[in-house]
Amino acid sequence: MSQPESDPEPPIPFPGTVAAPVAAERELDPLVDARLLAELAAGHSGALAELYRRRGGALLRLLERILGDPREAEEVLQDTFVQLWKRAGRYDAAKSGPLTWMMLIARGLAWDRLRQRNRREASLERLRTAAPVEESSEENAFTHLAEGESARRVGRALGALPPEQRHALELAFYRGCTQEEIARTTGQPLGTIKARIRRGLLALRARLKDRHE
Amino acid sequence: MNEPQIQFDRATEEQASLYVLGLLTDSDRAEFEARLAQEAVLRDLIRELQRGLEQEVFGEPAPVPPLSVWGRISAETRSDDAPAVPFPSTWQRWSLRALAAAACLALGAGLHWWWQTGPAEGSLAKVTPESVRMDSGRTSQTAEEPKPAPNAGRSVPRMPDAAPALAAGPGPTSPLAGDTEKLQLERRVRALTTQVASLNQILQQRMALPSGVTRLHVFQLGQNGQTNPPLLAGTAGNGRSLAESLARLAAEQLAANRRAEISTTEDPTTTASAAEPPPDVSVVAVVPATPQSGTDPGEVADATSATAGNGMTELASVGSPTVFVDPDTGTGALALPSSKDGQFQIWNQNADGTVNSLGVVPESESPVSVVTFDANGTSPENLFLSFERKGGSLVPTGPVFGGPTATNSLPTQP
Repeated sequence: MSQPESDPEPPIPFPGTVAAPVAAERELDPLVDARLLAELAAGHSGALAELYRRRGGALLRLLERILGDPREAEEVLQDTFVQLWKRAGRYDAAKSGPLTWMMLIARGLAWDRLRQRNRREASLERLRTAAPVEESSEENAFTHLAEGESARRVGRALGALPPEQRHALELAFYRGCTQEEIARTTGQPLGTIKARIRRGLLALRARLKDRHE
Repeated sequence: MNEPQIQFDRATEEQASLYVLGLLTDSDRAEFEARLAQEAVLRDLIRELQRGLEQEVFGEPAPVPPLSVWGRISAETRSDDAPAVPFPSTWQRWSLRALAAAACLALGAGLHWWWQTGPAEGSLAKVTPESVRMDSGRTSQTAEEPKPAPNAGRSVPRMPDAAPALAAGPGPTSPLAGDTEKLQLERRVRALTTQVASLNQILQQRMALPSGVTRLHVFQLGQNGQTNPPLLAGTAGNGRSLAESLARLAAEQLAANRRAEISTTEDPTTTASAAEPPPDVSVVAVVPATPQSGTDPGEVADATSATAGNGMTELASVGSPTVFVDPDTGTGALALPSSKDGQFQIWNQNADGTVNSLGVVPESESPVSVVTFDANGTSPENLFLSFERKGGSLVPTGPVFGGPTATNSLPTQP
């Protein structure tokens, strides 16, 4: 990971401040996150504050979805940024984007927390006993795009997928379930689960491409 | 722009899906990464799939992350040579300027008021001269050293409240740097702060127990072992901590006062036990909210010589800040180590869970600051400290010491 040659940027604002609308585009630019990770690796503590301001809220929301406990999510958010601070030098841009890397760290810590407290099984049990997922044909993939309750329940991206794909991806992404576990949980054949996960991710990719074209 | 989309076989796509979800086994992941290193188009697929998932987490507007969590992160990642936590900016910049300007005015007015009048009699807590003389030779003298206080030896002014304390100004990483107006403001603020700090030095030498004090609460704030040891390392582990020394001195001073009272009544029977406070002196030492494991209260109490008196309890032998509160006058005082990285701020937690600032401990060149604060309406067990960036904070954000939040969980913000 290359070190920044200089620091032409203005000083880093304190986290918690509200981003100005004009900076919205910059807020979404992962290149900024990559630069901040490089600065963090070089020992610029202000970069951590800026990363927290930019991504702390989204990561907290992710952690709340995984853990279901706001207080615990805040604790793991703290651990996440401490890990970012410690491991920034190990970030490898060839393997993942900065957002994915941060997301994986947060998610991994949340799963660790779930395992520690032996809540994962309980969580799966709740999912097993929850209302069955509405089935739909794979051909109707984007007829369910939507804006409804499912989109609000999960993130915007997964919420736009057909329920069976969304459910499989939700279990994999938020719960860390393996394909085998998802198959057991949903009572579906392993091959079906593999296909749903693959098609779900490809659909997300397609949506993103469409948006940018 | 439509780019031709490369098709992969189903197995590769499935492997790629599991890879981006982080669900491959270690061996499968290593194998897949070896393949990734060879196939640029596969790397492109991975990035695209990752971006799709990133949209799930980052694709919608996110809430502002909690400042309290940032305070804990900052505390945990702060190193001795690291700069202080960055100071507020963007929309807070102007409010900061306004606050700083108000702080200058308030501080100036406070100084003027103090210069002219001093506080009312009986509004002081006591710290003996010995307790504040430690390391006084290390106090640096600067070009901005103030003139000697004309009323040195008089009463000590109460510590400015939170807003004036903001006058401490931003730290070295302030985003205001480069702004002429800000620099001028900073100079004024620093001059005033230095003046106050130096005045504090002088006043520390003059502090005396007011004659009206009959009860004194002496207690140590709890210490969270995970977050604050560096701040207090200089006072712990030296046989007798600053807190112990202050507690001993406070107890001895009370005893001396009592002896003086007794001698005026010509009661010779009490002189033999003059080394200890007489039993009717109500000195209360409140132990930390989270008792230190393995501490024998009896032994500790003996070690501090603060043992007698109805209501007297033990002091734990840890180097945490010691607070003196005179419940009759509503004045508190405490001694704290100084740090260039930030400032201590004193808080009271109300019954409804909200907190209010009792003031920010002014910066000082001395390794130890002794300050007084208005403790009216507070109770010792509801006091706590937080270590904030320079200038203090409107709500507690830094490492928390003692009181109801000894476990470092932050209280409800007002």
